[in-house]
Amino acid sequence: MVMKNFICKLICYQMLLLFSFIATATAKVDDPDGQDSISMLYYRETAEPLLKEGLKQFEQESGYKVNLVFVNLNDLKQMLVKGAVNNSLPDVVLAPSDFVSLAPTIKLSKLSPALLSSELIPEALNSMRYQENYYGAPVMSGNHLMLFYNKKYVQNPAKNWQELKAQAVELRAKGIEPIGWNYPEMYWFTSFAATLGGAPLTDGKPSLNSQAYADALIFYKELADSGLIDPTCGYDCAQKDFQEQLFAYSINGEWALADFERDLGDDLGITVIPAIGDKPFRPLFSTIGLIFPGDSLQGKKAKPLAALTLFFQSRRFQDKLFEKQRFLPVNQSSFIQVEAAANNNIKMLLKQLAQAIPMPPDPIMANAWIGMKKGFDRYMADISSAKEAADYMQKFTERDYQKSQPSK
Amino acid sequence: MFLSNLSSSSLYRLFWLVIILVALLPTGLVSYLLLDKVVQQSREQVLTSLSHRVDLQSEILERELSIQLNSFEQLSQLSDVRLTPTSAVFGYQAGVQLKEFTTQSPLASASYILDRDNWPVEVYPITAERVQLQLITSRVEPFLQQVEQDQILKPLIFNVNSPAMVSALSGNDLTASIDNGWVMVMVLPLVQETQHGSTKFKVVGSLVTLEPYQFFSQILEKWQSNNGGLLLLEQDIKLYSTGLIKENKTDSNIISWDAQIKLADKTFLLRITEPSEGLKAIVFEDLWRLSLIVGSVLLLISCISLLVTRLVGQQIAKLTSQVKAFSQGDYQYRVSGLRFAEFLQVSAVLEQLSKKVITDQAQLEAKVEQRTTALSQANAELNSTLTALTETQSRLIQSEKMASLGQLVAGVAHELNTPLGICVTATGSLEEVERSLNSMVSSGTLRKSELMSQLQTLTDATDLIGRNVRRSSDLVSMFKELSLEHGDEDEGLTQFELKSFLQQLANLRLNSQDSAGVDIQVSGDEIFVQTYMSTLRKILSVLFANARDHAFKNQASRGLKPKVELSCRRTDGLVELCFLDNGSGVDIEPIARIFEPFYTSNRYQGSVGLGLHLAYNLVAQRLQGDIEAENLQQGGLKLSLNFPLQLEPLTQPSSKVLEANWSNASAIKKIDL
Repeated sequence: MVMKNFICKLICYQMLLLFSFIATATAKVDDPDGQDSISMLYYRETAEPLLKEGLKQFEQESGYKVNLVFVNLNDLKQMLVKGAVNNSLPDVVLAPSDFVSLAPTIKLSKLSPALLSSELIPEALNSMRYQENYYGAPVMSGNHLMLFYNKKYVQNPAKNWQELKAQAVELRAKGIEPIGWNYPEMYWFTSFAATLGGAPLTDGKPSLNSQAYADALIFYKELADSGLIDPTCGYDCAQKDFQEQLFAYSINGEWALADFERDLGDDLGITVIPAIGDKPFRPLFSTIGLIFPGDSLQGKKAKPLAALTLFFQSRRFQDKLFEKQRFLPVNQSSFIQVEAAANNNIKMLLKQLAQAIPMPPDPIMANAWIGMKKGFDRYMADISSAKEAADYMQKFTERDYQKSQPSK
Repeated sequence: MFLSNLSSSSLYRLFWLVIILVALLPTGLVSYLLLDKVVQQSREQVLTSLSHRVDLQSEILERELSIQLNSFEQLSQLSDVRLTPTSAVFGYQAGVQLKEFTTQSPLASASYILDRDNWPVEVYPITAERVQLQLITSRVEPFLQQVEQDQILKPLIFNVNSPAMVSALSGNDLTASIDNGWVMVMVLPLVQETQHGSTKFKVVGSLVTLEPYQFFSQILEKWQSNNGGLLLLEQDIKLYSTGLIKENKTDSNIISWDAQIKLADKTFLLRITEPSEGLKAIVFEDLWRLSLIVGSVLLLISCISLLVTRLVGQQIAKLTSQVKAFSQGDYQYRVSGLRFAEFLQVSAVLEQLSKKVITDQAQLEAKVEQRTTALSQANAELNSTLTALTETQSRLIQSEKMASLGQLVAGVAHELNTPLGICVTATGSLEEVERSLNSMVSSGTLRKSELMSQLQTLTDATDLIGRNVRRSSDLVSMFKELSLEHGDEDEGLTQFELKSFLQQLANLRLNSQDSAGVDIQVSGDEIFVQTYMSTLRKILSVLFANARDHAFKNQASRGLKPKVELSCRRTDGLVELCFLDNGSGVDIEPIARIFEPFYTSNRYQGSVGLGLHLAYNLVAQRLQGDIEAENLQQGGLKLSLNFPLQLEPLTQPSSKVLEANWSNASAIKKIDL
């Protein structure tokens, strides 16, 4: 009888202990998404160290935790759109400025002036504007392409594509690949079209079926057909192989600057992308900022999100952008500081930025990127002529945009 | 009868017969049945194997297609895919999924996400952009409308024939080089749930995949045998074919087997063909092997049988030689090398027998000696008795001959005596007339009346002498006919049909004066004979004459019409020719006397009595037969002539014939010692 009572008690205590652990675990599982924890998505992989450091500081100062999640840029938009349908959205996303056009779709929070720094570069601020409202807080600017080169292989960087082709022959003779960039990506291609006078949008409407785009297709394809660049060249040969000094040149964005500096050191050179004929190269530039899907700024986490917004726009953080990761700040003072301390490479970076044209903020731009890619692929596969491909770009963009509009 | 014949024939034959009946024949029969069974089983196995192969392959293909369809359905359920028709934003991920589906599928060549206007939003691979989709979209649109109306999600599977499509999917422009333009199109509706309204979902687009049947070869050709063929059909439409194809359903050189493949609401037919020669070769191989085994068994049985037979035969041969030696009188002969107890036993018995034979032989020889002595004595007595009998026979024959000769001479003398006597008397009258006339003339007393009377006497006497001299001449002619040593030597043997001959003869007789009023009938068998035709004609003339002169003598007084029947039949190589009349018959005993010379019942009417004798001689000597007479019960006489069917030419009369000349119908038989 005594033994029986003892065993019963033992079982009860065991069960109590077990339930306690479960409750604790549950509490711990719930914790990352708890009231004081912010879920943040970002797509720029190179920003990870900076973001982690910054967020660590933010956590220390504010006491708010931020759960950082990387998402590939190609998946980001559709993930947000689906999330909006399923009511499963992150609290904040560090996204390119053209994402603000998704404001109605993913229910972005409008930012009040209190959440926008007064020291923001106007272009950066404007890039977050959509239909008279600001739907994002800019954090980084630039995001433009430039020509990186390895001084070990290149003493005089090419100023035009003919020179580059000539140098390619010499470089290949030495076993060095001349140049690499993310050839199939439209962010690179559209810069060529823009250089030739084209624009993805004109007055808020797609203008892809221009001769400039047709010419750009021809010019772009010829670069691959001539053997200057491998048409399958992607991230690896645009960044990784250049870092490993297998390539002499790389057309990449300022997001890769920090990694290139680290690996090439003093051998890294930056210059403007070679002109096409007499036309200086005009890449696109854009802003990266914080957007708040699901109207999260009005939700339970409004306070920590507001604090985060202000933190990312603070001088302290903005100064660290360039210092740590060579990202261009959106704070004017910080930007001036960068300009002042610019070495030759940074000067060339800024020179290229000066030649860049802003990415249109219009919502249709999202469709334009896709339409551009469709036409581009058709032309590269010899399915369409350049003109037909440009027309297809236009048509696809218009159709896709039309479908995304609410039916009247 | 057969068994007795069998038992009397060679033991070897019996052995072999037994071996054949007991061993080889049953073995052969069983082997035949077994071979037949094996052939049937082999054939069934081959056909079953073919059937299993078809079933297995159809199951595999059905499974592949089902997996394909399932994967396709799963693809259509992905949110990125469903959302892409409404916004290309989702196209990137959807494109990745399309690429994954298309590259992993062994059959799919291209996949599309079409929006509601059937416009391709996402395509993989990029070369599929070349394909003109009108053939497909024309069927997709009504399907999507139906789906939206029915609110039931289901796939659409159909086939289109478009070499251009296949060429585009192959990545070349050579439409002419495309052998098979059939393409399977799978379509699934892409839907989005509706939050309100009467419908659960609305169709926002479609997911399409193209699977050219030409590329089914990746799966199908590995199932095809070296010589066979494979066909995929849907409602008699050849979607895919390779190898040996059975164009004509009745072609027996090709065996085919069908199996159904179901995919959604579609039913395909997988047909596998094989040349029947190949199957026959497989069956023949089994048959050949079994035949080899059976043949070996039969050969073994035969060899063993031969060995046993030879062994037994050798033993029997040895025994045979022993028996042979004994039979030849060598009773000391002993045989060696006998193997089996049974044969040794027989040999021992034979030896005992030989010893007994030797003993008995000695006894027998003594008895034979005694009997021979007795027999010699009896033989001597018999010989002397025989000699006496032979002498007596000769004397009797001689006295018969002399009696017959005497009778014949007496008959001839008697017959000639009468006319000659009359001639002598008439000659005397002539001499008297001559003397009288001479005296009267000399005396001058001859008167006319006296002269006329003397002349009349002269005339009468002359007539008398003439008649009797002619009769004597006839008699001499008749007597001459009896000498028939060689008969008519110019007459040769003739082959003729006897019944027709008799009929002709009857017709002549009927038309002649001699047989007027006589009813002649001919009957009997149609017999071809070889004999002396004119002799036979002469014989029958004699018989007719005899019947006219003797048989029908008092026919009118009896109130009967004269009738003669001639019949002929064949009996054992002889011909029996019967001459029957309905006359008065013969009243004499024995009736055979009518064949004796000079026997006649009409002597006073001028008959000599030589006709039947002449006929008798002609039958016996010329025709080498015999003739018998018999009175008929109903009245009349039957004369039966028996002579050979096929007569050989006669050079010298046989002893029997010579004897018949001199005796009655019953000849004396000589005892040939």
